[in-house]
Amino acid sequence: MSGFTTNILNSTRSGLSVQQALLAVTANNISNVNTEGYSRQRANLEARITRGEATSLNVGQGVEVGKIERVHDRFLERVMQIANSEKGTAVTVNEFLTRAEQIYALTGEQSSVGSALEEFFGAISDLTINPSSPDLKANLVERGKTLTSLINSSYTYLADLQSEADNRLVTEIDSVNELSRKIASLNGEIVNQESLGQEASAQRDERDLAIKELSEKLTVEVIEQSDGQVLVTLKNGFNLVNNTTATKLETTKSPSFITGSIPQSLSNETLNYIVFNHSDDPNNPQHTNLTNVIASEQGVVSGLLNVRGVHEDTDTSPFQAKGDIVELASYFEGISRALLTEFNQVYLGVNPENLASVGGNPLLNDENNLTTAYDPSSGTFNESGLISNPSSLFGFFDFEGAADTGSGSYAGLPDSADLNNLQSSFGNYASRIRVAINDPSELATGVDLNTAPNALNIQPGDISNLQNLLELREKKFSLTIGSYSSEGSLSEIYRLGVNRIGNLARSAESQVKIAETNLLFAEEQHNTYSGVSLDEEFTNLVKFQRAFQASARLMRVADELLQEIVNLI
Amino acid sequence: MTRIAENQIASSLVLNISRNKRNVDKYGKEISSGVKAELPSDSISSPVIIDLQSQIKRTDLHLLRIENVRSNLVTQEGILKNADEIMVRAKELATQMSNEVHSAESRRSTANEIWALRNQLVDIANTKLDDRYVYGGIDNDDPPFDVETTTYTSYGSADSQRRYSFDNYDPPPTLTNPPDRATQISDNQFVKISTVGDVVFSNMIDSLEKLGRALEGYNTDIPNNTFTAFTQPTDYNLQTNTIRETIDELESARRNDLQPEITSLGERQKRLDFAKSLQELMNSSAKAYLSQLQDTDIPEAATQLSLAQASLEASYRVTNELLNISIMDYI
Repeated sequence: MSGFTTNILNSTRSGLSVQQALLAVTANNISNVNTEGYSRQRANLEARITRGEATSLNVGQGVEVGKIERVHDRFLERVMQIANSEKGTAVTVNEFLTRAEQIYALTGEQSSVGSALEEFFGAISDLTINPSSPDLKANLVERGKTLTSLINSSYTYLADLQSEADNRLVTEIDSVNELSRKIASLNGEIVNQESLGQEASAQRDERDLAIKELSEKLTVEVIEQSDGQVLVTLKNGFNLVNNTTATKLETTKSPSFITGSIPQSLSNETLNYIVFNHSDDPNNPQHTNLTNVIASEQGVVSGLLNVRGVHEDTDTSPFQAKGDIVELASYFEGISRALLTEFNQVYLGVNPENLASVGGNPLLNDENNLTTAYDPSSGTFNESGLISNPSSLFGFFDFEGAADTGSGSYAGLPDSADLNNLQSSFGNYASRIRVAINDPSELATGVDLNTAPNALNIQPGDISNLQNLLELREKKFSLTIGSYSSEGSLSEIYRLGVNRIGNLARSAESQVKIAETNLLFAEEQHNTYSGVSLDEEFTNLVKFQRAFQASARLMRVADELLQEIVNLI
Repeated sequence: MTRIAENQIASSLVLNISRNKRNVDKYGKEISSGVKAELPSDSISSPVIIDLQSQIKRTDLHLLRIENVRSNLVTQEGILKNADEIMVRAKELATQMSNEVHSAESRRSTANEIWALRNQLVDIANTKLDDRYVYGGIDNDDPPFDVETTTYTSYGSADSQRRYSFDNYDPPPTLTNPPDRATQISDNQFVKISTVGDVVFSNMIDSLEKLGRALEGYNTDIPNNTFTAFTQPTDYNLQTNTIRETIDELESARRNDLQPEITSLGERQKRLDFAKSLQELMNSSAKAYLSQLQDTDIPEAATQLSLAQASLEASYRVTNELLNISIMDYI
């Protein structure tokens, strides 16, 4: 009999102790209800098994806590990481495209390159009323200046956005390195604690949270090993975290794998490359290029790269980079180059189609071939046909720095091939284009009626030159700027840009909605399994409290039984 | 049984609130600005919107220019009618003086009226509008008709000696047929503002000068600038014949140079009317289509705003209800 009483007391004691443990787990769950990344814990109870020699009747030895485990599903965690990467890309791309879109206003209140182009050609039309009117000439020059100024500012706005995305890339890679270090450090803590037989729940939660944050930046593969450590790699297998070692990524503007000239950015700087340096010699870095691998996946860093643009190693032009901002800027660059070449050639009275048929360079060998009008005050043709003052021979438009191209940098009137050749010096023309005519009275509205060399006869009422220029309003240009091609009139090319940004921004906004929904769904799935439910915890609380009270009552019953036995003596 | 965790409820509520708020903001902006497409991503028709805005701007400018040209042409019409009256009067005088009842002396005194008509015609040919010589052609900053340095003769009155001729292009062009003045009235249409004075007035002025000199007593070969003086009374019949010849020349210049120009002015005004109605049509249809694409449909947007507000309010209420219910209240 006394054996059973002892048995009752032991079982009751284990019950009291286990219910207390359960209450403690519940309290911990409730406390962490709002802790980000926390996975609820669950105590697994096991009936105590009688060890050793069995008595005649084995009623058991009570209960014990087998294990306190975090409720966690690796698959749901992975789904959430993927959704987080997609959201990272979508939000980043959307942010930059929403900002890029601001320069393409559809309302008439804000000036845009499109409206300025219209007003510029409108001013040419207006000048046909009275081509010698100083007011109308000044108006045309001013409209030209407004147009070039808007091209400059629109292009510079996009170039600044590109620089900002590039700068943010550096910060994001620092965060990636910080997270990699944290994951590696937590790997160490987990393996140490779990080797002692203790579940490292808090550290695992913290590591999962760090991996989640990392997946927002980059697409990573996570492989958990038998000892609890995780291996974190990029899609191409590059190890970011290997057990307790984190690999540091770097951003550099001087990658060792490019031996020639490094392509410039839209603002004539160099874009950052994401690399791993596997050399210990600071003077002789050996870089592995990870930029394209990261750009081809998802995450904030990928979003930044795809917005900013990514160069191939062999690229030489800022417009060869594949990226949304670069593509948008290419439309402004295309319009600028068309103005600097074909518009100027027509303005100077040269039929651009003749350029090709006569070898692209003959017109300046014989000034007689120039049938118009504009005689730049500071520009001259020299006998050899080379330009002694290049900037003045562009015509209506030139660009900042054109005078620095030097005598003989190109022969003939500047054409697209000349602009391509000069690109290494200037990078782009959209940020530099300007009106070459400062004195509106120099504006040539008519053609030179005297074809004799060095003899100009421009009649003040002649609008022939204006008529020629007006034909350019509808002329179809075929432009190739770096990796991007466009065809159409100048206004149509601008509209192509509007169409492109509209589609990109709309798509980015949809992607954000989709990514938000996907992430919410993934988080819901994850929370359904791992999140804390107060209803559940409070129900458990009542349940565990009742069990504790029952065990306590049992203890009193056992005590009474013993008392009865004692009283028998 | 599906578990519902606390954070799950909260994040779902926050996302729904933020989406509903975004909709309220969107429709609120549409109503307050009156425009539903402010940026390219707001509408798939944004390139069309830009195209229509360009078309409206272009047609507005064309309409302004059409009115400017019309005013110029109406003024010219008045001027040329005056010129016609001068030629009619000159022909009347020539017809009277060709009658042999008038003596050589009477003819000489009538020459003064012819010189007055000639000078008036030269003034008309040298009319300025907007500070530019209307009939100067493309050389419109110089008077088209100047006094020649080489006068007819040193004989006769000062008016008789003075010789006017078309004096355009300084320096003279080496191209033949220099263009007329024209201006743009539609995307691909130009209209001539005025004809070069040489075409309209030279023959009329020459015939008036020949008549005036004939009345004064000289048989002048214009433009060769050679003359012979009539010896009276021997050459009275010759003078009469010369005056009669000028009647034909006056009529020929009026019919072949002046009348076609007046007719051409009328035709150009008709072209302007046609161009104007076309531009107005294009302008109004572009504005109507643009409004359809870009302007907010207020009743539609107001309905959407009410729905979005109701959704937002509902999500606030649901949030409040859900977060306020707790099992703790029942324990």
